[in-house]
Amino acid sequence: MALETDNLRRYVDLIDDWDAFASACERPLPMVIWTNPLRRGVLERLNVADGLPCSAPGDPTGGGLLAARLRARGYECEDLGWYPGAYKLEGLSKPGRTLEHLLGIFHVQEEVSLIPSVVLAPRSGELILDMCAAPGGKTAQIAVAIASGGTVVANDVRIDRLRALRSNCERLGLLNVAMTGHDGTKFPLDAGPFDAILLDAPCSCEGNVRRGPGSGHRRPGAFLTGRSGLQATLLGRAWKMLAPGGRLVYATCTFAPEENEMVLDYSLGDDARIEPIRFDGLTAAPGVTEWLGQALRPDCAHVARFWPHLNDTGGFVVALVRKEAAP
Amino acid sequence: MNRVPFLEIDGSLYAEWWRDRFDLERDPFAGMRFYQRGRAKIWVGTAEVAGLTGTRMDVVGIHILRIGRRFWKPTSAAIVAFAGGARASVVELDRDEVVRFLAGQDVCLAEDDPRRANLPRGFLAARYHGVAVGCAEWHGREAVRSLIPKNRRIMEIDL
Repeated sequence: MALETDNLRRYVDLIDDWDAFASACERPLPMVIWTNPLRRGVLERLNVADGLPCSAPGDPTGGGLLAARLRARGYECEDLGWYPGAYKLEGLSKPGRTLEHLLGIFHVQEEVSLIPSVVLAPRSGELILDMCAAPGGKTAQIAVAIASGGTVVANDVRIDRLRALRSNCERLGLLNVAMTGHDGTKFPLDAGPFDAILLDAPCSCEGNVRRGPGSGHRRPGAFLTGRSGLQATLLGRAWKMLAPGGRLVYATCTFAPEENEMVLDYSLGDDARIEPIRFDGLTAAPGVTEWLGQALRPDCAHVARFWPHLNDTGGFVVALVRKEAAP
Repeated sequence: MNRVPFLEIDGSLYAEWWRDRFDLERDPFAGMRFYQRGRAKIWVGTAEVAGLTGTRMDVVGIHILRIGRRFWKPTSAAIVAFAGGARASVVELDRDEVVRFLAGQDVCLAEDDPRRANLPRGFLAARYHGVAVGCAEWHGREAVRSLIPKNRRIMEIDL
């Protein structure tokens, strides 16, 4: 692990407290789950049968019911506070082995990875594109938020990852998701315009440093050159499909400005405005406006950088971009 | 993954069959769209895809039914979503049985098991604690077969 933290030394000037950062990177990540409100009825019936609380007024997700269930089995659930129905879970090492997971009552998703869909703020009736969607946690958050009306188009280029996406959508009972398998850089333009687009771009995954080796992911913690071009192409394509006045959330789980602010600076034109992200309950550091001697768009300061030590999470960088309405 | 086209169809026949098969009080598919891929696979969803012409549409919503053979086969995902209130074609499992069922194993019904009386042949909703957990197959022999897909089976369930 120490070696991986060393790979991140290039960001030492961007981080307010290097020691806190380095020590956060050494700790394992807490497990986080969110409750699926579409399965609330199922959850209530299970709780009735087990003699557990089955109604919780003012709790639209049913999270309180799920927490009561898990606590009754001896697991510790701590309310995340900023995301309705989401909990940090301790003691449950294999959440996939529970009936609740099989029935789609909850989904396991890292805390920081809940952020982009919240920043996107999906509204009922909208047509929303998730360009690099698999395995589908963020798609599911959006689909649940607009379950009363609206459509999510969830795209991913890799067929094996699309299978995971489809499997998650079926388990969670998401009916308003259409899945496509395009290369995002060539996504057909006539599919748009979309009211909002989430581009959770493929990246070097430096922010996954806390997942450690052997987590099934590529060894995290090393900045890769050569991702920026793909990210810029994806962002350019997304921009063409975004309706005037629409929102685009660009996110990566990597710290490198080359994959975040510099991609935004390179790809966005005068019709784009990076907006401040208002976020209650989590602390973010501002974006980078100068890197390796190059000055970037001033509105890059509005990019939100979630360093692991700020909220005891993984790492994520998120930007909310608004497209100017047509004159 | 996309060799066979995915077409919107009139699904009233399938909605009626489903409601009849599980004797449901209400049509669980009200307001939804039906799709078919190939001769046998039926899907249901609410996605507004009319404006997406030209998009290579891989999947919309949930795969619910395989038709075309003697018995139409619902998927386990569809049973969980749309057969919770079943009053027919449903087999109630106890705790030990649901553990076996979710591991993909058969559940034996003894000759004098009262549940045998009400079970039609074909595919059933398996239910535990009043909650539909997946699709089962029954042909009047000694056991109800679990049709939980391989990638969903739970070998050591934490119940």
